[in-house]
Amino acid sequence: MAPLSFPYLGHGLGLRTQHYPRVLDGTAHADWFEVISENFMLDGGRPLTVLDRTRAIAPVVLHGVSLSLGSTDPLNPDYLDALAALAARVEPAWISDHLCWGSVGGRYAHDLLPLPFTEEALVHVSARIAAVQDRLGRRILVENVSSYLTYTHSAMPEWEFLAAVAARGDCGILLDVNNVYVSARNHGFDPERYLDGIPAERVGQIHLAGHTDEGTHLLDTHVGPVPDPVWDLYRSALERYGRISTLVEWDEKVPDFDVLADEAERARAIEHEELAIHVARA
Amino acid sequence: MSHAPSARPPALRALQQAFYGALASGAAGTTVGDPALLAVVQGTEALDPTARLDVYAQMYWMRIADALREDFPRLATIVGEHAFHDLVRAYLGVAPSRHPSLSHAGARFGDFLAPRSDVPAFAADLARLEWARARVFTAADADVLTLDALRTVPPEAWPALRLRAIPASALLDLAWPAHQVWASEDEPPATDPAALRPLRTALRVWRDGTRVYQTPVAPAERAALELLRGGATFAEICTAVGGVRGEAAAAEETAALLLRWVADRFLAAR
Repeated sequence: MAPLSFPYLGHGLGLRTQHYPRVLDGTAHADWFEVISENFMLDGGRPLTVLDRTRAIAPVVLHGVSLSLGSTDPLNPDYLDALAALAARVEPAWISDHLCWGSVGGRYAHDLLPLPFTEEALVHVSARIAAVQDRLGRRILVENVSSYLTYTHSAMPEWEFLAAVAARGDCGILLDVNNVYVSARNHGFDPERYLDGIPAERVGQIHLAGHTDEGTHLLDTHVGPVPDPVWDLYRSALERYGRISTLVEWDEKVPDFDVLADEAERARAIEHEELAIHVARA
Repeated sequence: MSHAPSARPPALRALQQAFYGALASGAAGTTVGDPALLAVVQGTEALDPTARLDVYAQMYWMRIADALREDFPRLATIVGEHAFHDLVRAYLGVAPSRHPSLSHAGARFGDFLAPRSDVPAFAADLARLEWARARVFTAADADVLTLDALRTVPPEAWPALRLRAIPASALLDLAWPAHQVWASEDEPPATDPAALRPLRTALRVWRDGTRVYQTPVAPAERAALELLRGGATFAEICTAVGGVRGEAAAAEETAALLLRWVADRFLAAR
């Protein structure tokens, strides 16, 4: 595998169907776009037309939700073929998916289900990441998920598990800062300790998003603007890792494209502020 | 973070199977966790282990329900939101998703609805129509056969001329004229669902650009379409049409079909 290196693309936007008309009329602008891989594993039609048009506007990255890296089912060869074909079509800057499982016994939950942080899971997931990277011929990024339960037999905190998976699987990390915050609140850990435990050199992308307070727990709903505590944690991440390609996710009650673009610009402004402070301190 | 459990924790495979079982039970109405799983799920003051699993169980079926509502919008409207949710819960019990893409989750919804007495009798056929429309929407693109291209075919080549439907097409055989109750934002239904009566109906469904169309077809066109989808020659299609409409009308009828298909951009370029 090549040395660790993730290009800095700036501030991207998640492409959603509500914004397809803006892509097609040429008024959607962003440093780069992230698309959900499975939404484009298709034979034809409007989505692929939009994808091709998007690729002509800016770099694209593929973000999957069904690779099911932690599943004890065999890796799905048809899925990997489809992902490889899609990658050949769009030549993404990188490909990412989640540190979780989502299928067992051939049945898909279409959710990002939590793994126990055990040696067994660590060995299992690391080997599958390596196999996926061999199949795709490239290093992938693996994202931490929000979780709503933990296991009593976990042997290490999540950040140690993520760092160890990345090291053993030799993959990059897509650090979802909102997910860190949501899980920290749900499980009572310090999100700053989480950030401390992540190897900076492996962080290739950051996700920001909104969440919903359900009273008994926070839910990762990707609704609304990024909340202030998540912005604060983003500042902490920038302080630790330097500038990282960043994307705001907004999937529920999706706003006008310009509102989403404004949120990305807010992330850019915060990045400039934090890096200026960092330089001044140095 | 780490607590010494009283019994050996389940292996990863067993944990995932038990977790999925809890999701399925929650989707069916009540989340029930396997004792071995519950023993290793950490509870909180606000949520005991079963309640924490239930967070996932609710998201599981709601996410699939949202996807099916997008694939079957007219059916969801006709049966109502509450009843549609109940149908999805029951559907997941017998037809869990077996494809990594959520867009395949509704593949068996029509067949699932067919024997049910708690939905309108046309529901299964309406579901089949909406499913066909959804599949056609993302089927492979293809160049279409034009009238100008047909004009270049020499007369002696016509009998052996092979015609193909575009990939973004489907032929449906239904017991109900479901297209009469189908509707979209800009196309109101032709018939009140309460007034729909059974009628054996063949529908041709296809996509032109980004728009999906459907039209009922007469028996002669139905016979021709079946052959067309298998890559038949013009002569074979003429024979099939003649079998339905009589030999005398076959050539004229087939020519009319051909012009209609070309106008609809339904035939793939050779």
